[in-house]
Amino acid sequence: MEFTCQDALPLVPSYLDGELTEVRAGMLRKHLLDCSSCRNSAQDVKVLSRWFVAPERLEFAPPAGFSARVARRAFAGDVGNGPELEMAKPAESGRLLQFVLTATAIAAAVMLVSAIALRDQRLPGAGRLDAATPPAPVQVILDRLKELNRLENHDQATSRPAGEAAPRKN
Amino acid sequence: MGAFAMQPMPKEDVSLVAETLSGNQLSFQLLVERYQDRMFGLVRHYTRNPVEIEDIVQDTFLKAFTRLSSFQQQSSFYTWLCRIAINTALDFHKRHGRNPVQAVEDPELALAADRVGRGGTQVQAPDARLERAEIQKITQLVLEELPEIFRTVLVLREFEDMAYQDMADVLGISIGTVESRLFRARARFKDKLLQLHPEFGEG
Repeated sequence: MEFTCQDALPLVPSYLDGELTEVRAGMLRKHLLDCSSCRNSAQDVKVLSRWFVAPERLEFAPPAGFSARVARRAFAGDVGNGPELEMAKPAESGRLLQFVLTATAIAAAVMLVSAIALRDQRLPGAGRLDAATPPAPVQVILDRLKELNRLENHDQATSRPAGEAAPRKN
Repeated sequence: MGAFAMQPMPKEDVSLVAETLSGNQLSFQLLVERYQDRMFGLVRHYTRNPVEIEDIVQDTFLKAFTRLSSFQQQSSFYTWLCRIAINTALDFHKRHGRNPVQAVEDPELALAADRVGRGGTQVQAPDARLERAEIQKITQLVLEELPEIFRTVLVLREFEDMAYQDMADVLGISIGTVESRLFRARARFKDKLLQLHPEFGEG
């Protein structure tokens, strides 16, 4: 099986990095011999790698006594987070950050209290669910209905012409 | 397979780790001394502030010490340290609200990188008249413009000369992902280099 350009191109960097198996490397080499376009791509990767040059000497070297200090701290139980300790040092930017954080915390607390107060005003609490007058018991309502029926019957009886039979009571 | 993964761990490292675990402070100091330069070299790709570099490297070694008993000797001590150092550097940026540019490896991105990788303007090799330091400065600035995942694979491959298997171990990804990420990273690097320095383009 021969490689197409589509097969070959993604393998070019791995090939140049020496990461292809011998079989695949052989197939790619064969394709590169025949394909000038892929050969140019390989050349491009090679050229690009020349931009990555290691410094002759470290720009930021470890300070003297670094290893001894780190070992001492490790055995003293320091578990790290050096950068956080760095942040805690008083500095202009640190003070500003602290002010902003404090102001934000206060604002959040005020908003929380206000929200709770507003909610208390708008929503009825358990105590406010009581009606102004307690609901009448069922018996009272039934008695009232009977009274109304009686009055109605009485009104009909008085307005009925003489000799007409009164309606039977249920 | 990678150069680091294939080789057995140097005897000295194994011994120093064991001695450290049995309470020998000097052995740990020797381990720090052995790798401190490479750690400073690695971390400088994540910040250019010397104080921050020192803090991150120190933090890396302190974290390594607390996890030393969990160190699996299948990978090299250096590969293991790299993983801690990169995570520490990224955590440091997060804690300072400086989230590095994130990239999601979606198909669109892959296609865009592929287009860049396939052709267009070719990049020139660095001019012979450029000082080594100048080349480094240009490269560093271009790298800083790249999403973190692309910057990291380029740093591990091009500066640390790490094998794909070791990169996969450090980053916790498959070799296939290392390959594709590196491919895109190189395309992005070339694109950004030409964008910032069109004078290095040809064709």
